[in-house]
Amino acid sequence: MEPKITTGIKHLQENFEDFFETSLCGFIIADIKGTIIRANKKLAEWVGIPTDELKGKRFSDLLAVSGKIYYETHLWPLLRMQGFFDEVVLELSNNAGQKSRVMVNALERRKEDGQPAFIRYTILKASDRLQYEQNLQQAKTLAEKELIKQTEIVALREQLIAVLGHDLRNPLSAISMAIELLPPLVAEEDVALVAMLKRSSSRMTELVKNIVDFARTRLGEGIILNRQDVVLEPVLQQVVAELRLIHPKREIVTLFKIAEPVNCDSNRIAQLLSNLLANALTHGADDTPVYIHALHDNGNFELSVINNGEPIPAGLHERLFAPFTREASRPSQNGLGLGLYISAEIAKAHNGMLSMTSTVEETRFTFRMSA
Amino acid sequence: MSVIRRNNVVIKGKGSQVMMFAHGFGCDQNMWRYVVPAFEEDYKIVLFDHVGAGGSDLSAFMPHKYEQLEGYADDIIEIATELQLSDIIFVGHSVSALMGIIASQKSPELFQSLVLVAPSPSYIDDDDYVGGFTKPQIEELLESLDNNHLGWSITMAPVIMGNSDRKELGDELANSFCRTDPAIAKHFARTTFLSDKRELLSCVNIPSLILQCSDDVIAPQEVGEYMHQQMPGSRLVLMQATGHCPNLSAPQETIDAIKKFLS
Repeated sequence: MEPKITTGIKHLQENFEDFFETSLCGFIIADIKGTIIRANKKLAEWVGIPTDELKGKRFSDLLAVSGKIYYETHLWPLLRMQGFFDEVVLELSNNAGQKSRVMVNALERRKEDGQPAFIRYTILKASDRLQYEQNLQQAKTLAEKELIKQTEIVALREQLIAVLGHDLRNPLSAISMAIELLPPLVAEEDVALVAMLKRSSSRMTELVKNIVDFARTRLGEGIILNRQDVVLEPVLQQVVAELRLIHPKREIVTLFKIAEPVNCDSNRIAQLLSNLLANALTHGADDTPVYIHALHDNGNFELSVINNGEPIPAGLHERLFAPFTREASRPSQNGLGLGLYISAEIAKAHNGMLSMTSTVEETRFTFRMSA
Repeated sequence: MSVIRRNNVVIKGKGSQVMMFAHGFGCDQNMWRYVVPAFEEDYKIVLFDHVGAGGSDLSAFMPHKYEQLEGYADDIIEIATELQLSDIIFVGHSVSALMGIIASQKSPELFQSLVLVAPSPSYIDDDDYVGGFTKPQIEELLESLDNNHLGWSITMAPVIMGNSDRKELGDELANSFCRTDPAIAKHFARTTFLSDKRELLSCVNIPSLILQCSDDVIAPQEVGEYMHQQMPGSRLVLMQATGHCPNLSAPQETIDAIKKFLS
């Protein structure tokens, strides 16, 4: 609806009469009883009643029924008491019964003695704006519903993981114990099979441990530490020995300088090294050694695992420590992708940090903490 | 819970004869502000807010109780009982006029007379009865309240503008007049506009004054005339005042009419 700016006047000059009549909004002036004294052309056009005929009507006569009642019971009292109302949404009803939504401001002009003199109404078209508001409201409602749904799914998934991890532990430890008892019972030529069973069950135990820890951290329990002053070297050597069993053909070079006991949870540090070492053995080049450096010096403890081979793709760096991060390019060789996440959580629990650098020369994971 | 707190009861005035003022749908006790001072010298004034309006205790709102005007009338009786009032001149605006009629029939010993300002026993046309609205019109009202088609923007303002750094805007819009909880207002509208208390009118046996406005879309002149005809001993005054709230639009005319009735 274009404002009519041609008026028949040859040389149009801005004047208040024209401003009132040919405006972008509807104007009404009413007496203190609320009876319309004058309404502008714009409003007349919206309600389909000539300006002459608008005179003598009440403002509420122009409204659809609900607006009429709202106006007479709430807005009019408000206008009389506080002297104005602002930004009220109402429905105009035109002579054909069609409704259009408008935003109305009203002001009661008062004389010096505080007695009301007349009332001004400004009426603005609001259909588009209200449609927009309604759409926003709908979008918000939809988004809220979707969020609730997704939150429920996530909670369910995490619960499933927690229960699964927990329930797998018992049968798995039964299997591991049974494997320990096997050697005297098996024939010479099957010893290799028992070794394979042993490797796989210990790998599975590590995976399940990670799952249980993951579930704990997600359900808000976090990694619980049992910190003590421990002589760490034998603990680390034990981890290396276990992984050598699984990867008998690989060279693992250790360099340990840990003279003093380290205050930490030794089981957790073992788990951290086990995760890092397993990764290095899996992803590093087969024909190169994996190096493990451990250094305890001046109250700092540092543990690094270094391998050669293809660097970790740059695109993966950012979410490397997030759960379920795996190399997308090839089928997983390392389970669920929880190892680095749990290791980083273990580092955090020790008030330490796990960091990574990866170049064509080497890939290096380093855990640092004060101890 | 104290009835006094629940209904935000305010007592003022120097007299002993009690005048109790009840506001209508869409407003609160503030709507008597231009009328009450004229009676303070000679009367004991009791003002209150219906539950859900003004400074009432919103937590006291019980949908089932307030589904009928009787629920609101019970509150009026409770206030009168709590304050040990009697010989009450009850002044009720709009739907509250009907609450006064109900209360005066439930507990006749409490009331002396009724001043009914822009009252209506039923808002919907029915055969010969002219209520002012057709059934579809009232349905349209209730539907638009349900869909929140009307902004109810004044009552909503603080919520919408809550986080704005121009918070004073919201405060100004939703200042102390006529605050109404939107959900309760919706419920109150249903209770009000679907009520039909025509059968009670002929049982009113205390003096009553009907103040009928000119050009009132909520309670047209036919309604006032009908009530006058149905209520024995009633007095009908056709006012110059237009609209539905003569207590605000024409306080002096309202005061004069009430004083004349009471003298």
